[in-house]
Amino acid sequence: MVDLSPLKANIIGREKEIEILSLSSKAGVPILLEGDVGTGKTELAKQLADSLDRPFYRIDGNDSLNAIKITGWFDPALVLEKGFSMETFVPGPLAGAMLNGGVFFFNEANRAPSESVNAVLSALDEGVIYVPRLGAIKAKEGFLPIFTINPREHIGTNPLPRAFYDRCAWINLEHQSIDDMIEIVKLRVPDVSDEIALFSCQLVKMTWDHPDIETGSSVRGAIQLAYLLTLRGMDDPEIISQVAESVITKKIVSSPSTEKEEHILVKEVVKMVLNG
Amino acid sequence: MEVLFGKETVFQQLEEAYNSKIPVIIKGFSGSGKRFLISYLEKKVKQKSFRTDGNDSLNTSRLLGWFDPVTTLKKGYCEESFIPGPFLKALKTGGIFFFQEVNRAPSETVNVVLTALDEKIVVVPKLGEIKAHPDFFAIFSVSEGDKIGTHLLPRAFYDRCITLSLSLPPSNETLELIFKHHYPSIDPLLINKVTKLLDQSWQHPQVEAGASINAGIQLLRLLQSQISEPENELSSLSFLDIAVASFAKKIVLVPTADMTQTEVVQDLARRVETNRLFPPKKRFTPKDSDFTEWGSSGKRFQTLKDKEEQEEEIRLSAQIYQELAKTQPSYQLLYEYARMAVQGGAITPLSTLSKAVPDTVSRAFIELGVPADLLLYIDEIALSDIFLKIRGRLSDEVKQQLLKLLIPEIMQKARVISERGKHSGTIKYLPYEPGKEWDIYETIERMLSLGEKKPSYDSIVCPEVDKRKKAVVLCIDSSTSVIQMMHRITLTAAVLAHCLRDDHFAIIAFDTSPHIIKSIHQERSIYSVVEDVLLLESGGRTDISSALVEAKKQLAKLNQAEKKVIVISDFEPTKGVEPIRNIHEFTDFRAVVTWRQKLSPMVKQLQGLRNVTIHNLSNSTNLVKLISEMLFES
Repeated sequence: MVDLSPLKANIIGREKEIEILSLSSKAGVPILLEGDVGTGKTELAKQLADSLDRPFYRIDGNDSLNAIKITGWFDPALVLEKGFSMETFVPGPLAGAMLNGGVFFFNEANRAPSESVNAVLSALDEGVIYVPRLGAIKAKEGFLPIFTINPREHIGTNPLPRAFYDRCAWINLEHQSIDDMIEIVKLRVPDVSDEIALFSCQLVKMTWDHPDIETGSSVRGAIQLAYLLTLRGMDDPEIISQVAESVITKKIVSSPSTEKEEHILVKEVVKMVLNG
Repeated sequence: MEVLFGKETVFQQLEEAYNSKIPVIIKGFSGSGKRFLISYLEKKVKQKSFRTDGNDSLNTSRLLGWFDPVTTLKKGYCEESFIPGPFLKALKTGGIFFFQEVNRAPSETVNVVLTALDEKIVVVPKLGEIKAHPDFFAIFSVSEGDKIGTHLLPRAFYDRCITLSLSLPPSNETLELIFKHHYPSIDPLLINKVTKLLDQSWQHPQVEAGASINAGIQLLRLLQSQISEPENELSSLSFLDIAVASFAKKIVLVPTADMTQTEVVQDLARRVETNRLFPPKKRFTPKDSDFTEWGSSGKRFQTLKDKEEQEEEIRLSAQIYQELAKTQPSYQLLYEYARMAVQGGAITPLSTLSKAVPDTVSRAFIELGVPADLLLYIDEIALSDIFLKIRGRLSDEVKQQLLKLLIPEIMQKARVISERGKHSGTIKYLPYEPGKEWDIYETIERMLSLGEKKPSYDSIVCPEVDKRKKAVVLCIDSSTSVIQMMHRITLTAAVLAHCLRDDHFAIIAFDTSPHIIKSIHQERSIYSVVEDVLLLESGGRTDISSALVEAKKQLAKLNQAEKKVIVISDFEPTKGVEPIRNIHEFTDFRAVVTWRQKLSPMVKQLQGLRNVTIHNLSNSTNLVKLISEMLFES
């Protein structure tokens, strides 16, 4: 039986998502977490792995990730001495997780080239991969693949094959509610006042709703803002605006339909929040 | 033995193919039971199967076999030092070779098995010929409806195989039987609900392709693990929540959908719960998916199905001719065809006709709307030709329909071309690093030539294709005389967009003034880029010089030293200032000249410039060569 109480204790909100995670991990269905930056995908996956208490294998998607780095490779010098065999095979994170019945955590799967994901497909539904020159590697009991992806339209992501989506249960992580966000900020920023926590979170929320902002900030922005505002105080609107600009400007993207640059938009948002 | 659940006919065909040893391609959506069918055959004919899975790293040597490095270093290349791969094992022992997801492997790898299928012989480099055992049988599986991460298969491949299709989804009754068989502990009412949800996912008006059987199975697995939860931890999740997790990402929405995947699944689940079901839609025909997946080249394989397809095409063609003759007496030619068809004579299919008389066919499109079934038979070049001629007069809906057919074709072709173009990069051999693909042959060659017997990391080499980051601006002249080459131009733009995905790349269209289709840092999907290029309106006059100024601005955003511009044009400027002096600003200027009877004076001027290379673009141009030259050679 999987005990998920530590997971529930360490994550604020997300009750439904945690329950689906729990069901999927029990049923052995691969899990796909999708969400914007700062929605806590990686955190959720790591916490789940912690509460499962299984070996943990992680790989991060980037442009140079290929099938070999995911599954495993042969140590060349050993091969030249002993030939291709299990002895000379260096398991990659996928083969490692399968051989030891662990969690295979593929972070940012859609930042890897679309073709690399093909290497994991047969592991997902049949629990087996075929390594050329070695043969089949079968997954031990306990093998659980978890993936995180960014929403499709984001810069630097690649489309994933349907065969991949077909094999995973999908959990969508929306941005946190303002109450959950305030709780997170209070947890992460010691000595933060209610006023500052509320202001920081309201400001971030405003960046999601503003019509001229295409991509808003995240709870990370709220935490950083709360940190700095705790040091500088909330007395001078000019200073608040300066702090907000330095924290938020680079975290948002203005929509193509507006001429306004990001720092102008931040100023606007600060004014809107301060004036209620 | 397990039950076949409605796949009896397909299995019978598979068994017949096995008995006559004709290779088989099994096509079907993910989760349609391809693998199940093969394991069933294995048991029935009591033969072992040797399996390999297609992915990008599957190369020839991994399929055929390889030389054991230890023995090779001692004894050289000989039979003793050779270890057969899955394909050769099956070939030699008369087993079943099962190539799963063959279209996810590089096309070159697939070529290796071709001669074996035909002549029952394989030639292994440095070893010689190996003859096939009489019992050798090959099965290939192909996932349908999934273009991402796949390659086109050569036509020769289809020629040699029989295609069996699992595309038609099983009936609801069969599905329920399958589910009940696998999940006997689940309440039959719940199984009925899941089956309905699966079926409804295909009927929802905002859905283009519904969920697969896998989705149903996953939902059942999640539901089962929910039921088995101890009572005190009873989960609060509703059917709706779990349905979203297992269905939402597996459905494909129509391009015009205003609901999200989650909303659609929620809607479906609510409808199933309240029994407000959608009426059955006309199913996605298998023919349609053949087309989108394989393009026109893959369609005409010589199999049983093929003959049926041809007959179907002729029947549809006859129908449309008759229809035309009825409404428009002026379509004499078509009328003739229709008459011949009625009298049982030979009939020219519309695909051939659209090449011969594109104007007549174009007119038919405008007046009758698009007969979608027929469009599938027209090849993409003729189709883009027709599109060019009539797009101005088409309704938006018909235009979208045509684009939906054309763009995936062009993208798929562009992909294949750009994959091939990649190889024109030079291969360097670098020292080994853990996790890198290393070249065993090159390493052994090197050791043998140096007389080394003891391996060390220094002797190991890894191949790396030299690819520097590039900054390129593509300028497309959209004046009337140039846009005639639309198909070539779109394809060139698409191939470049593919090749330069990770590089700095901009596209500018120009006529009287420049229009930016994609600027240097902008992220645009190749799909929308292709769409924009296809929809370029041909403008009045040509101003090359202001397009070049715009290109310069784009490149100025980068601090790269090498600034490359590719201009597709007839180089007949009719407006603006003299463009030649702007050309000096670029380090590498590629002029792609569309064919004309007389060389324009500007091209003659260009020929004298040191930073300019001239390429000709005509209907016979080898695009791979052209683009490789433009991108990889300096």
